[in-house]
Amino acid sequence: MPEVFNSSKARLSQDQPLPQTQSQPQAQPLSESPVEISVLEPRGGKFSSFVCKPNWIRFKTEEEGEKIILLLRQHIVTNVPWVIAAIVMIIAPSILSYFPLLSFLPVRFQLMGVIFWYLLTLAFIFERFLGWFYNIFIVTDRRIIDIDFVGLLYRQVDECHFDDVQSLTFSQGGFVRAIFDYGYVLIQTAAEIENIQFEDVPDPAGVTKIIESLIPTHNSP
Amino acid sequence: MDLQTLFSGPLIWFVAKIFVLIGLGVYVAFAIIVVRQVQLMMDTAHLGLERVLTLIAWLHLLAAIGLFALAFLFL
Repeated sequence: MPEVFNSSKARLSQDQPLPQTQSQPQAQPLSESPVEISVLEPRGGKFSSFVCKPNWIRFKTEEEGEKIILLLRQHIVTNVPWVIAAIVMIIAPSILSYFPLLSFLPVRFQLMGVIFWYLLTLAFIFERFLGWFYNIFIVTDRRIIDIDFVGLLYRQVDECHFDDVQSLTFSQGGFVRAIFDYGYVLIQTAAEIENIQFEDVPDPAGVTKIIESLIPTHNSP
Repeated sequence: MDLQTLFSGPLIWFVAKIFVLIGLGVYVAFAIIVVRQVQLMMDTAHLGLERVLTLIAWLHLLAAIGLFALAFLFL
């Protein structure tokens, strides 16, 4: 005869805790659990691409009491192309000295040309470094900020409060991005700026999780 | 005096010097813009390297001005 009701099992279930609700999900792999912002340790230095809770950074539109959670830049590997170009520029005069391309010029012109070439190389390295160093993405406890410097004197600062975030996605494609773990984070907003995109940032999955953790914290009563 | 004689002497290098000075003058203007660019970046965000980057920008400008002066004097 099939079991209809077992009182001993029913009595035992009364002593057991209630099953977990949606607010307390079952144990998940650590990589999928939400990030607790308060336990994030400060991480990264002045030249890092992924800086967690930096205490030496200030930005122009910073509000009173606002805390910076993340400072992100493009992954340092993205600098390799221009570094290689700079190395070629540095050694070019030495190599070209074996080829008499400029021998028709007087020596004083050749000397000026070499000095100018190294000055140009310095400017090239400096400009590319500045472009990498100051194009940053900031995540605070209140909003997300994207600071872009385009060209020499054009700056664009996009910001979005967590209230306006509609969706978060990240992507990571290609051999180099997979090896060095960097990619894109796209934040779709309901603000005037429709999208904020973090380009080639390290650990895009981790960045997404941190931002996701901040959104319910910011919206909680 | 034919063209070959006219331009094979010191005149051609004087003309070349003028062009070099014009080019270096443009470069000095670029160096000034770089200094302003660095100031603009630091005004937007303080990231810990302000002194070093300002120093490099100013040294670059001084080097450009120095090269312009050298070209004016010695070319």
